[in-house]
Amino acid sequence: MFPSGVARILFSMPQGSKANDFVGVLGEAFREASRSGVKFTAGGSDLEWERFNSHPFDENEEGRKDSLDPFENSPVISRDPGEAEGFSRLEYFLDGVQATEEIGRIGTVPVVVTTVAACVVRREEKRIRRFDIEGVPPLLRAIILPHNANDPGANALYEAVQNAGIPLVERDGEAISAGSADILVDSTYHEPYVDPSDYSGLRQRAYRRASSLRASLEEELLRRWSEMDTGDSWIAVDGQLPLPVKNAVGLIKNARRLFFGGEEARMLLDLEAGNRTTAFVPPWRAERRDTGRSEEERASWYIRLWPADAGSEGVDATSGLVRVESVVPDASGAEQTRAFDEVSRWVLAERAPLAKPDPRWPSMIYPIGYVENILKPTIHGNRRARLRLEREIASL
Amino acid sequence: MSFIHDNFLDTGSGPVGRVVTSEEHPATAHEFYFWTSESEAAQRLDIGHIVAAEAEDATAVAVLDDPQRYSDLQSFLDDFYARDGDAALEALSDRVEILVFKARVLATKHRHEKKQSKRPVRSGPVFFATSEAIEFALGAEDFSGTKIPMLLHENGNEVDEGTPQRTPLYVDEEYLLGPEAGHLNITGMSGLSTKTSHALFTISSIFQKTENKKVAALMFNVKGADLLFLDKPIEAPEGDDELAKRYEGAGVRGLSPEEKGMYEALDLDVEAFEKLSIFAPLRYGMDEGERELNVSDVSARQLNTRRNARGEDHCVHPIVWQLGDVLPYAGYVFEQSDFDDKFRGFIEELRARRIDTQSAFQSLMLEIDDYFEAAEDEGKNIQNWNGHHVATIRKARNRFGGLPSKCAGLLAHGRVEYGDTPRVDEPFKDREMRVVDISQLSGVPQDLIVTSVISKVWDMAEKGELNVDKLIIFVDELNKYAPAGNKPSSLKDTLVDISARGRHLSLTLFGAQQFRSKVHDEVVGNAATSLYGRIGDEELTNSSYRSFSQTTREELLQLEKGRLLLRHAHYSVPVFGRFPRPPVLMGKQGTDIFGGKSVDAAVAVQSVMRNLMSKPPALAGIRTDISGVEEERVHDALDRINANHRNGNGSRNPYDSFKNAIKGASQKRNGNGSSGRGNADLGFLDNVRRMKDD
Repeated sequence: MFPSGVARILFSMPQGSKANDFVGVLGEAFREASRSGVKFTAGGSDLEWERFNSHPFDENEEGRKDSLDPFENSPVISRDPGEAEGFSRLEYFLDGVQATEEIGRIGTVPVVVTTVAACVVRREEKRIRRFDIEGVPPLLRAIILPHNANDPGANALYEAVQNAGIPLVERDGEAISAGSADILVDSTYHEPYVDPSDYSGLRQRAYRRASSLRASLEEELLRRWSEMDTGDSWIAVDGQLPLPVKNAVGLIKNARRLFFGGEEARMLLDLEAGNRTTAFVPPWRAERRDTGRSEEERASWYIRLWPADAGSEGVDATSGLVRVESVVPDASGAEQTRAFDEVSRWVLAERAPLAKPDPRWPSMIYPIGYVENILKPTIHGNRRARLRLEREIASL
Repeated sequence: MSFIHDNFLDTGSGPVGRVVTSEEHPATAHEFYFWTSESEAAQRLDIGHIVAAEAEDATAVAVLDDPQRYSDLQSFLDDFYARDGDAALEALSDRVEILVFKARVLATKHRHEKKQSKRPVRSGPVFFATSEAIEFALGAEDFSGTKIPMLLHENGNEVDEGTPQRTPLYVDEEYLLGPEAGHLNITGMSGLSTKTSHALFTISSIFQKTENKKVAALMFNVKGADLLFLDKPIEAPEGDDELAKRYEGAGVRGLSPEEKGMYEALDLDVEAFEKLSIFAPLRYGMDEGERELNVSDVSARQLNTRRNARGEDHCVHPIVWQLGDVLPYAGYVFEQSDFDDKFRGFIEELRARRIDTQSAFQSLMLEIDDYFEAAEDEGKNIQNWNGHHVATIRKARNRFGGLPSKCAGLLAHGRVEYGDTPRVDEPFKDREMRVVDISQLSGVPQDLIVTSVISKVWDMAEKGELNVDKLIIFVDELNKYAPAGNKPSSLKDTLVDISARGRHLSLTLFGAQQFRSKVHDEVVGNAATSLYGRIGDEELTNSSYRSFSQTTREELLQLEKGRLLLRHAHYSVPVFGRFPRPPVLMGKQGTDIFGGKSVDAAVAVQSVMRNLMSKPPALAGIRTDISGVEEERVHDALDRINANHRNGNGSRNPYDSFKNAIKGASQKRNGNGSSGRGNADLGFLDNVRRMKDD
């Protein structure tokens, strides 16, 4: 039982002694803030469960049908890329994971903590192993606060965290070079003013900041990989392709909102297993390209790995679909088509083994699932650390 | 990285895995689980290997059991669907699989010498255990007696390329031979489990390692010539080309380099039994029916044994009984339907009258006949003699008449005089290997000999007359001699007694059987050391094996020859190990090389002379000397030379005596016509001749 008015923090922190160090330093910061009069309120939730991405609130939302550029064939149609030959140049695989939780509140301001991790694995003679890339931390732990909400309590904690030795990282890229796995980030960095009473909006911002932190880790890994001599091997990245790397593809599992409408949408939902759509440039990427950011251009197409009904109950007609992104090949016409077909056959060859038991297996390839499996234990749960922090708070 | 006991972990091979715990499979004081790494060393991990892992303040040493390979495949169908039913389709990625072993803790050592620990290990690296760790885990530190190597453990780590780390599996002499505990039991299928081979190996090990104690062994040869050439090394001695040829001709390949390496690792010499003595019964028909039989005159050719070649029979001695030796076992000899109270009473009468020989029995029968005849002549109708009905007496006469054939030569007609000839039931010598050859017998005579010898040995032990500190008795087919169940038998009772009390009386039973479950509980239960070779599946279902894990039972079903599971008082978990072939000739090898048909006359002469002289003549010289002489004459001369030496009348130069004999020196034959006996004192005459020359 804790004395009334004293924070009882619901807390789940990364494993290991280093996680304990982070917990210890945070505890110090909380105590300092508490001494200056900040009042914490117990309770929180796992932000990962809330699927903030499913609530459109910015321009990067998938699903806008206008501005789609169907450059391989107009309209986009179904195409048979040929039989998977049991061969693939996909030798490297990259993915990241995150665990983001609200651990308490200061008034209406959520105090959010995230742990993000990313890595590359390499497949050699069918065996997949972690592939270390120097200079990129394997894991980052961050406390996320909305500095520009200008809430005195939150800002007092903001100061206290820095005073406790956790560096403030303003841009995501700086997190890589911060030299510390434990950082403080501002979820309102790009916004001059945010309403501190907008609790829901502040949680969403914190989640987005956590996601962009993870994405920056993945991007940096991809950049450094592209600078290495990896011969003619390719890398598959989970999600959109963040950089225009030539020998790389992005594999997007979640096609919740489709780019197509009308007949194209029907064609996509009826796409047979083993087939692909012809390629296009997704709307928002086409828009950015058109504003001069050519590095944003990507060729994209869908592949149906498995029939829609192959998955478990509750899946819909998008189950088994994966959207592929790559740089637009230098070739054109038939050469381009052959290139897309070849990449498609590589992806289709990854259907065995199944990425089970992950429920997203119909749209996922095994090596990406492997990366997630080796990363997840590093970011999840540390009951002892949480209990320790609870005891510390109880003693305040 | 530092460890609590660096000397227990083979860090050179690197960690071979990592301890894992879960709610379903926690680490306990007695077992833990670990997944294996993919290093070269880890790929050699297998059942029976020994590893080490740490708790907070202790190191646990454990033996591997129960390997299981896991993947995250939830259903076989998922693999089928992934390949669309095409078994030939190769996926680009291998599904992750881990190999998990259960490790059964042998012992745990605390970082502080004086503290004990049973704490389970924690999550951390697992290494192959070093020999030092294995010895500690098998209780070597707590041994009160000498360490006797019984098997060789081969671990998965390599000390040299291709050579596994070898550690002798020792047993404590005081728990094998007493007094703390005792006895050994070996179970396994016939022909596959090498029970006798291992018993020989263990006895050799004991003979070599036991210090400051006199030890001897008694074995029964029940099959062929298995135990008849235990004084012959498995490798042809150097410097004797002719013998080497015979070894080669018999297909005896000697020990392989690996086997020699095993002996070296066990710190044992490859040496045969120096003091072998073989006792075999007289062959049926060899007794000539005289009133007295001098055992010293019986040659090995007259015995029921396959070790009877001249020159190789110096260690072979007769077992001959007279009637008085058989009567105490009348219950074994006569049919149960005959052995009623009246018959038993008549036998007691015979014993009371000290009717010790068949001839004395026959004399008594004549006496009884005269008694009845006299009564009849007097007109008396007398049906009893000394309280025994005439029908009983007739039955006895009839049944006793069949005794010689029933005893298959064991029973002589007249009085048996042993003189100085060694007896099967005399006290033992230090390091003596005494073999009783009953392979040519079956049924009654075989059981008689076994029962009689063991009973007499037990008597000697009780009276402290063994003349050795420890006597090992090896009995095969224990399910025959000490069966489970209530059927009474004096031999079974004796064996149970030996099992229960033998260790206090310097007797140790090494028992072997195919079916442990069919042996008397006390006999197997009192054995502090047990060995298991390959066992049949029906036997393994028995409750005797319920303490073994399923994996261990399945290993026992297919155990290869030369590999055994050892259970000992000091071991908390049984351990697998191997042993090399015994360093002696066994079975047909012996007869092929040293049997009568394998050697020509010259070799026979040399063999005989080798036993009688310190420097026997060379083979070439012998061939010259016997050239043109009939083989039978050569054999006769050899038999008589041997007989003289046995009687204490041997000459100073037996070879000269032999040469004189074959050159036609006069030979006296005694009245019963047998060769090799009696008064032809070649040695004495030679000595007289020599004195004359002097």
